[in-house]
Amino acid sequence: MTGPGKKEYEVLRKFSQNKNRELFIEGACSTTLVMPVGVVRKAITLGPEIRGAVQLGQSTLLLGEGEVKDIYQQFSTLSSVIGVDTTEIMIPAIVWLTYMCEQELGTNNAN
Amino acid sequence: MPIKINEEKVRELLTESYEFQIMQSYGDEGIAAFRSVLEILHDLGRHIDHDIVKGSIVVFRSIGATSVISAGWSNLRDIAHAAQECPLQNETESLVVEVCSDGTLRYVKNAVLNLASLSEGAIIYIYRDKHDHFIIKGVTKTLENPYGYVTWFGMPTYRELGDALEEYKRRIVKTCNCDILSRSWRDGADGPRLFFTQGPEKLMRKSLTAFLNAFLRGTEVDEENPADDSHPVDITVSWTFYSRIALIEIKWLGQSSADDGHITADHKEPRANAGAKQLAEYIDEKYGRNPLHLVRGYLVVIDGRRRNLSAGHTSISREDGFYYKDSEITYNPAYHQVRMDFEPPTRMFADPKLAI
Repeated sequence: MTGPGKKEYEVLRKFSQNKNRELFIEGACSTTLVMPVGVVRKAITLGPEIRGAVQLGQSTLLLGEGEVKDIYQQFSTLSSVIGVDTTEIMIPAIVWLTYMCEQELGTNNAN
Repeated sequence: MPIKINEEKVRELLTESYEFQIMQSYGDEGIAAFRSVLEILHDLGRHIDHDIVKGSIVVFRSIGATSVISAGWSNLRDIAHAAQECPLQNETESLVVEVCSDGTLRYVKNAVLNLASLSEGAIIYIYRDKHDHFIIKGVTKTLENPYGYVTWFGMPTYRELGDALEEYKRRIVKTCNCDILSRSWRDGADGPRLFFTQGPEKLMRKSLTAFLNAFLRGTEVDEENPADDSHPVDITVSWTFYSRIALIEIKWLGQSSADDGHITADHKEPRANAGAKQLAEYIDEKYGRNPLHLVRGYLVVIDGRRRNLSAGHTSISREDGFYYKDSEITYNPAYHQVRMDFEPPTRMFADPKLAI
């Protein structure tokens, strides 16, 4: 993390509402330790809600009720396949991002 | 359309995933140790050029608070210090770094460790034979890198610069596909590319600087940066987040002429050799001033030699025009073979324009 990034992080973590988020932020950001940032960015934009906005070239609300349900469904499936009792989300996040990229690769190859 | 996760595909991914194997083998505490090892690996990647490392690098962290080894280790102020202490230029050399539970670092050089046994209670990374590996409970897992780089944990900075120079050679110099560079030839873009203008170095430098600025990311490309008090190296490239500097010296071969047509310079092979010597000295100077930086030298030779060319010629036969196309230069001494910080020189042959 860069110096300015660290400073901003220190400021944001002081807010009590962010305390519970820290575990998830750390897990999510840790994915960039094993994957190139560009691959992480690509995988995130492959989700249907972001992809749709990109294709239409317009901003939309993220994570509406339906999308949240879909994501919970995806994470529930991931969790059952991974099958390890863990509070660390770094590895499940890596698996999910890798899966998204592989799916895209498969779709492109099929085309 | 929502994405439905295919469980079978996920299982396939998991069998390949070393991260998952680490989680399975060491649990949450292991993941925390894994994360701190990864942070050090990225830091190390800023200070070590994996492409030229011949020895091996081990970075490990014990799971839990206990450090398993005690004798013969030195404390490490920062990872740049380790990179400087241990250049790893021989296959037998090794650098072992331990990330302690309080976040401090210790290192030892050329130690013989039983890594398989150590891996029972530690996250162990090894860089060896141009590959990343993790040892997970005694089993070595090699990380494949589909991007063609030798490691996941460093930036291919010098390699990118090498690629950029190859691109400049093929796309720009060969057919003079650049407005700035075309002014270094007499009669510019419309001319036959037989004679350079007087003192074409300046334009060549500007052309290559502009190209590198457009091609490279996260770099600063500067013209005529002084390597020492009296000698400016043609181009200096430095990377924003990495302690690396590249020095580029440009030499040209061929003939230059004045406006009235008389030949003002005729440079042949010795000119390229003089450039190599000059560059070797610049590298030493630069390293002396920036001992914590990796310095690498690049000699670019723009080759506009033509056979049987005399003052006043306005055209040339194909045979004479391309006579030197594949004529490589013999360097004596061959710095690029005896020094790790000297890249093989890049000769860029400029095609003449035959149909005027």
